[in-house]
Amino acid sequence: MIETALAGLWYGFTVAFGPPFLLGFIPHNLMFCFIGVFVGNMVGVLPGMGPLATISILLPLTFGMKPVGAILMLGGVMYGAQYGGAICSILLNLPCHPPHAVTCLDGYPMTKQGRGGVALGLTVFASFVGASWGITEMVFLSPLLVKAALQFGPAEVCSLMLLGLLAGSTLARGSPLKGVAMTVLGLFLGSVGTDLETGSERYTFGMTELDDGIELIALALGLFGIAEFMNSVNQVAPINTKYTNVGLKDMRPSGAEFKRAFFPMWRGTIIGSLCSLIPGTGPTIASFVSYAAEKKISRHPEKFGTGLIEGVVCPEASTHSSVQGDFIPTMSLGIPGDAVMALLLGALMIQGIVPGPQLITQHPDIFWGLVASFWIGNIMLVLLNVPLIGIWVKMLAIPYKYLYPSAMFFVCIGVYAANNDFFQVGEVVVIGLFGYVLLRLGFHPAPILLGFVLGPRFEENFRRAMLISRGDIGVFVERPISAVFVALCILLIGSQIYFRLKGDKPRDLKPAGETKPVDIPRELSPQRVPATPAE
Amino acid sequence: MRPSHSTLRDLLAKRDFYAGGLMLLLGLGIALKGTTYRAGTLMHMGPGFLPTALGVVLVLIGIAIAAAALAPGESEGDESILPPHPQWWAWLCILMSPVCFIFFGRYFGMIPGTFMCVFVAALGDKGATWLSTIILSAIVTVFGVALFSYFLQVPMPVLTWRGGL
Amino acid sequence: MRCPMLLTLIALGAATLPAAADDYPSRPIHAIASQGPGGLSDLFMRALGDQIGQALGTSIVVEDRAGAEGTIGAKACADAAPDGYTICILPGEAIVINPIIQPSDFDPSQRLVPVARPYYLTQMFAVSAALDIKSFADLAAQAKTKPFNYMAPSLSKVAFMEAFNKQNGIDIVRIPFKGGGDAVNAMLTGTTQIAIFGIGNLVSFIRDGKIVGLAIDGDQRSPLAPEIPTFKEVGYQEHIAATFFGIFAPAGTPKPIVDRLNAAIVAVESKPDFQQKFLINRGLTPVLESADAFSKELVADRAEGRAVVKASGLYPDVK
Repeated sequence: MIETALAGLWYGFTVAFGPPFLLGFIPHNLMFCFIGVFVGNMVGVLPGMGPLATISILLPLTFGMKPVGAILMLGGVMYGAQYGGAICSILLNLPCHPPHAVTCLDGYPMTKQGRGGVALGLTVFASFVGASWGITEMVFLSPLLVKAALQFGPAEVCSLMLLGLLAGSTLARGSPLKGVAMTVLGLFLGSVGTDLETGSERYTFGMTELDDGIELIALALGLFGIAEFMNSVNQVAPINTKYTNVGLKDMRPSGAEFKRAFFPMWRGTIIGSLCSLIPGTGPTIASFVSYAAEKKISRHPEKFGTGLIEGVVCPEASTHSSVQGDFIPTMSLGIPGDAVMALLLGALMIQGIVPGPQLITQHPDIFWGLVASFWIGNIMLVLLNVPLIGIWVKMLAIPYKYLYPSAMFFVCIGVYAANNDFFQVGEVVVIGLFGYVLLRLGFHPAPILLGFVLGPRFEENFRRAMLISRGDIGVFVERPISAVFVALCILLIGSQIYFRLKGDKPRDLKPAGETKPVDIPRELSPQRVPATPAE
Repeated sequence: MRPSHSTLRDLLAKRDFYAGGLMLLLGLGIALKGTTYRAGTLMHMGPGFLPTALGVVLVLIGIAIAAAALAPGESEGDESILPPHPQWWAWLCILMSPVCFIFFGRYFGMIPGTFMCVFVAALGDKGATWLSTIILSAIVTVFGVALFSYFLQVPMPVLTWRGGL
Repeated sequence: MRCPMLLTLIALGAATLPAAADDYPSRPIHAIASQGPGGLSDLFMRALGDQIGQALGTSIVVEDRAGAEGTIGAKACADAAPDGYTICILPGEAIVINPIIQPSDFDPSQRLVPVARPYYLTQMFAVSAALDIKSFADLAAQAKTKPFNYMAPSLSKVAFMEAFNKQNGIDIVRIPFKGGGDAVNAMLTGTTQIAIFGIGNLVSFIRDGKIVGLAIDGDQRSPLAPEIPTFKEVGYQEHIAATFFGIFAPAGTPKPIVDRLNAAIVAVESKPDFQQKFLINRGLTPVLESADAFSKELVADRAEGRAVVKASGLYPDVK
């Protein structure tokens, strides 16, 4: 099996580098791969402009192209956008895609300490490691993974999500109780809109615009972006610009930082590749769970959330490994995990190629060409992003009083572009205010996003499991895989309670540090300077 | 609960008391509204089943958070809800900025929408002057409209007059 | 958006003047797609816009206004100026079914005029191959002893299944799914044995022998899987409404413009390579009919819609 995979991979590289040539020497397919990752990367930086809209706009260009070039380009947009997504999260606390919300937790504090460049540099590296593993998995393990994925019925998906939700709610700083409260709130927000099974509306209060639920981009940018602007405006010098005028080589992470990032990166990668087995929400659950796991095994969990490099590389590696892993069911079974994958399959169908189990044998050029292009594309992205780090960091030299109004515009237009509707921009105002109130009350918004993204799928699978078992709740412990996840959930809750009880009741883990979760400016208070009046 | 030796005033100054209270109120609202939807049976779950359950859980968590605030010994540190220097004006500006974007974008197009959005947000900064604010808004408008309208083809008229009024 | 993306006053002037059919079209046409980027209708409109230039001498700018199963897009379209420069593509349910199950003050039949019906979404009745079911009779027999589940996104198919259950004294349970991908996955994992939905999602699994097709809807067999009979051929005579997509314009759009658009769309769809690439390959059946014929059929569909909603049993409130 390994030989066939290697032969296939070799064939893929000949497809990617091979003819037809443009101007006699530029490989045609390679060029389209580059266009794809470049556009994806740039668009991924902008909040709201996701890969879905971009692929949809680029699609008519591919109607006249050969299928291989077309799919290489459109696939490139997909994973290229993931590289861009981390940038705004780290530099501005604006998570464009939910998986990157976790990156905000430690990435933004690092930026405030003037180490944004280091965070970005290691993120690029971690992304590459994660993606490479995802590709390796696709080459060598995809038959195995497909078999494993087919063991996952609604009951298994449901138990796994429950585990993810529980693990994710403990990841922010502060009391676990508050984290659970935020997860529950997120689950509720995810249930707003039309109920899938009965078609009746819930909590829409008669607004048609809410029929499809709260807009994800509005929620992410409101809770993180607007709330953070309100927190930082006129308060302190929010970003330490001491390092922003130095050259690229000073931005390079030190050897010690590399060493610290190495194992978290790999652990994140492995968790990410396992999470890609759940179609659709793979990357989100992967980044949350890997961060939570990293915090659990860390020797200094209390430092997570204050700008720890482990807290940046681990969710990023996890996201990328999961995104590449998402291609496995799409390409080897023809089952799209989410809307972007469905669109890619649609593009293939327009070209007259029927995606499905026979794709690898009938169109080896497409399958192996795509796999090879992943590797080439990821290398291109690294080469593209490393020089860009210098530019992004320079951007932080812009005084905050100019930075945040400009960012407000990007938030507004990004939310508008998500659905071409002003209503969602209105949602951002309400969510932003609510997010700031939560922040001041000591809640962290990250678990809300986790609950919001997983909520609808959790409910869908829970209800489906109940329908299929004809109302027998025991199905979750009768099926072995599901039972394992349920047992892990109980173990997780049990260990939380045990540690609570073991320590002296309220002051188990330095309550003072634990109850002051959000206010990074307060922690930086020695450096506090009043906002400089205008010159 | 052991009898608290802190006065009511101390209790009300605790942040977690309000945090728990907010969760309790939200949960109560969610659960009460949820009961107006059909709950269904365990096999055929209705639309109200999960939200109502979530609301009840939120109420319980809210009580737990507020109760934890009653426990003595955690009052050290900053427990106030407002930050040391409340920025009412800046907060208002930040929240009004998207509202301006909606109003001007909807009725006058992307150029006025962008300009007003940046302008209002920038007014929130203490050091803002009229001139610097106008210059900043103009720069972002030119750059933003070029990027989003011409390059990314976001469907919003660049300039219009009372569109649809 | 109510106002097209053109420079201010020129656009305004053009929009307020009564549209003249003879110099139509003089600027790009905005098409509102109601399914979001990447949806069937979004892709189709982009492909159509790519080609329609030759027939009309203008281009089509696609705007995605997804939401509320097409109602948001339908409202945005109805609010636009009726000058032929705004059209929308909506799933049939948005026009026929939504007003019945969610009565509101927005009545699409009053606010929109039909322009063209570009395609039917050919749907197939498929069962998992592991069950060794070859016909509806096999299915009914097996369902007597085994707990089967089905998924069907379109109401008329739900109504069919409920009737099938009653007729045979069985209880095949409906499982709701959001997308076809999930449903195929559920068939392969063996949790949902029956699915009735778009043939484009299923055809590769039929060729692979993982899924067996029992029947397809519509009047003729599909070129993607010609071996599968239609419902009529296997003995289900009663009409099962096919799922279609329609192109509409705001009410009040001049008749000559509507006909002009219809002719252009039909002309593009008649091209064999367009038909093959964008319709047949994706499991869609092209419809080449005039705007008048479409309106007439819509009236009939609406009359039938209420009966379908009641038969599906999903909306007990609908009288």
